[in-house]
Amino acid sequence: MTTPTPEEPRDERVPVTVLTGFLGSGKTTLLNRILTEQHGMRIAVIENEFGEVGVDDALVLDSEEEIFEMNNGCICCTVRGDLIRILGALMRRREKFDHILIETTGLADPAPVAQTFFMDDEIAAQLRLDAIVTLVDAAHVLQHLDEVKPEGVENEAVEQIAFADRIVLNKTDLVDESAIAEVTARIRAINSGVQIIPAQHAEIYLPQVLDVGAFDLERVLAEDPSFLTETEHQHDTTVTSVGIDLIGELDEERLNRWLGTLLRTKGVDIFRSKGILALAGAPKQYVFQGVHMLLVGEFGRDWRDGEERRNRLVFIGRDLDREALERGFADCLATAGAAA
Amino acid sequence: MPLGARPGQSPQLRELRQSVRRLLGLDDDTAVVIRQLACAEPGCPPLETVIAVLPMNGQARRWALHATAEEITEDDLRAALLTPSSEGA
Repeated sequence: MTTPTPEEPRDERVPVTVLTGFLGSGKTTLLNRILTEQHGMRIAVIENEFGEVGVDDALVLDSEEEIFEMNNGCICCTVRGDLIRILGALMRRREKFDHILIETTGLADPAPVAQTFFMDDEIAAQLRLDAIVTLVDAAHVLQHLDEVKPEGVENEAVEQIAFADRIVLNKTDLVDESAIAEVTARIRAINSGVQIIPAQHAEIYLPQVLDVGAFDLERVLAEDPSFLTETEHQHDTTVTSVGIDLIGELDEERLNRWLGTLLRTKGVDIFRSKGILALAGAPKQYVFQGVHMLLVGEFGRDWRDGEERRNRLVFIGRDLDREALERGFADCLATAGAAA
Repeated sequence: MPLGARPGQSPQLRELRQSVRRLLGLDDDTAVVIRQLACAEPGCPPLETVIAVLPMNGQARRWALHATAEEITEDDLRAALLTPSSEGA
């Protein structure tokens, strides 16, 4: 569980880790390690196929991917119907586990999985998305990233990296230093703030991926203050990150209008958004996380005495217009004059 | 409060969920998902409320009501849920 500060109550929601990665990336190896290692956590696993290892203590549930559209034809509003059904039943056995891990298939789009935790009030009240962990095969990821897809078909490898909070760069023993540097640069070009964990045979220190609070922006920023805005190195890629760091207080109405319009019109291309904002007149920080057009936000900690009112946010997505995003956001400042 | 609300804090959604369960006579194993969504269709109000019912076994159903959760009355809900126009997934 996330460590509470004296200012906030303990978060009792069950942390959920989503494990993605292409076939051959080492996902099953990592999952088997999580299931068999003595780490002291009771983990309920939802996977697409039963694993090959015998598991005595863990709760393992099989699930078949079912994409459910909440809104006709809107990809931003797709959720995983199978997860909704299973999670409800699982939560009635709440005393049997401390953590949920969801393994997706190699070709799965992470969006419907993530959106499942943003779609419904009741699910969001009981479960918190802790992190999206993507396994990457250091030896083969570049060919997956460079694969040209037919018009309208997503490159799943790019999406899985764009959505990730943690990337396990696996099989580093099969490539040399320069290849690792190249893969790292390509990953950073897509998702600049992601934490990359090099590994061989998926051997990682599990606390690096379990219960890390990657969706808890305050915790992330405490560990890496530049997380939201370290996006200066642009590469020739259509999926990128845009970070904004702006001093000042925001006009809530203008912010609502801008963010609402942005997510409604560009939500398909904005994979993830996150930020900590200073609303004019609010004594607390406003913290939000979004997946496509779905967004969950709440007030966080108090602004401290003398602390500069500062807004930090990041968008990760396809064909992002950095200038338009910066300009649109700057127009939300309370000091920006008449409403845009 | 900007877009997106603190999870689990909306009494309207909680009441709506209870009403859906009661009107459709749902068992505990059936999941009910409710979300207010911004509809991009021309002529639609800025927010609509989508209700999805997913039984453990059987087909999921979905209804879109062109109103915010706060505006939906019990009569509106009954009329929507009990008409045969519910959409399958």
